Amino acid sequence: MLGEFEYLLLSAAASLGEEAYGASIRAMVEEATGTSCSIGALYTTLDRLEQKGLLKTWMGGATAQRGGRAKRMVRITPKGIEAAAHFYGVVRRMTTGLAWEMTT
Amino acid sequence: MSTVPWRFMEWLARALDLAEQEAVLGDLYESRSGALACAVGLAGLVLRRQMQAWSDWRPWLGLVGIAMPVGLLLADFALMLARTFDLYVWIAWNYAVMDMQILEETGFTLRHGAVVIGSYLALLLVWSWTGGFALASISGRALWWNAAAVCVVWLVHARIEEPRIALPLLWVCFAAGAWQGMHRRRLAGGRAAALLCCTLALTAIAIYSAGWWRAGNGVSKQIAVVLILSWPVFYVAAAACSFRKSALQ
Repeated sequence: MLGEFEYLLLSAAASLGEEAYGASIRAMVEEATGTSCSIGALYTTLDRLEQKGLLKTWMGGATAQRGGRAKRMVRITPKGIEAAAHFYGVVRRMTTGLAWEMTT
Repeated sequence: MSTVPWRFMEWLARALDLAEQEAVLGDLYESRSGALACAVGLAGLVLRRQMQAWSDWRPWLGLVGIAMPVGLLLADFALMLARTFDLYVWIAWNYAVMDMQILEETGFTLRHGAVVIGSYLALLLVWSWTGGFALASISGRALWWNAAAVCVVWLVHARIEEPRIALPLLWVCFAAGAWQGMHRRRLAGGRAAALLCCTLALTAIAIYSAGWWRAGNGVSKQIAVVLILSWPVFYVAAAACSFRKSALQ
């Protein structure tokens, strides 16, 4: 089963579609979680997901916005969609009927 | 981000693969984060990659099989070369006042000295280049740690014994070999075979011209030392053969 950070990356890659690459995924995760996402965690997790066959990555074109550097483009695979759907299903089933209350 | 922190970032990113360097530096540039945050993030990634590299057995072989033993033996050999050189410099300096008969009888002639020093020097250069090449080829991304281990071995050795001119020579050749190994990983079959023949021939010349570098050592010990020092060249030759086989298939 996926880890939570792996699930976040798969979700971000699926949401961003053709625009999914390192910086855009990182920005989306940071915006959604409200915490910083380290570039080390991002790239090592992307590698792990690619090794598992849940993502596919390739080098894209360079842009001036990035100082002329190429992007590492990301695309979720059918196996990745299946794994993310499974994770989401488990979380939904586990939390059905629960009402979390914030104590602070 | 100003130029100096960015240059530092580029330097740090060189520990990563080329494609990853490109992607990560581009991401950092695009994020417009502060220099410190970028540096910490990048250092974290480099550290994670280094840790990953050590999960493989090859960097450990590089550390245990080359960096420590070969590094120590090469440093020892460099010292012996320096001492032999000093001896013959002293003989040359005092040549006019020395008894030729004694020199001939002891075998310390200038011609003999030139052969011994020449063969030692050539062997040291070949061994150190090959050691550097094999270390880089085996260690992959963990090369920097293994190179640091070699430097520590040599520095400790230089602190115990007097630093001599042969040690910097060793450093330069080892670094040149490591540079080549880092970029090529494997030598072509012909070059590996030439390197193997050259090393074995130089080893034979060094043994037979000088009776090896330590008086009193047994033959078995000499052979053991030769095998330890020469194993990187056998590794380079074996890697070239396996590369040729996989290319043919």
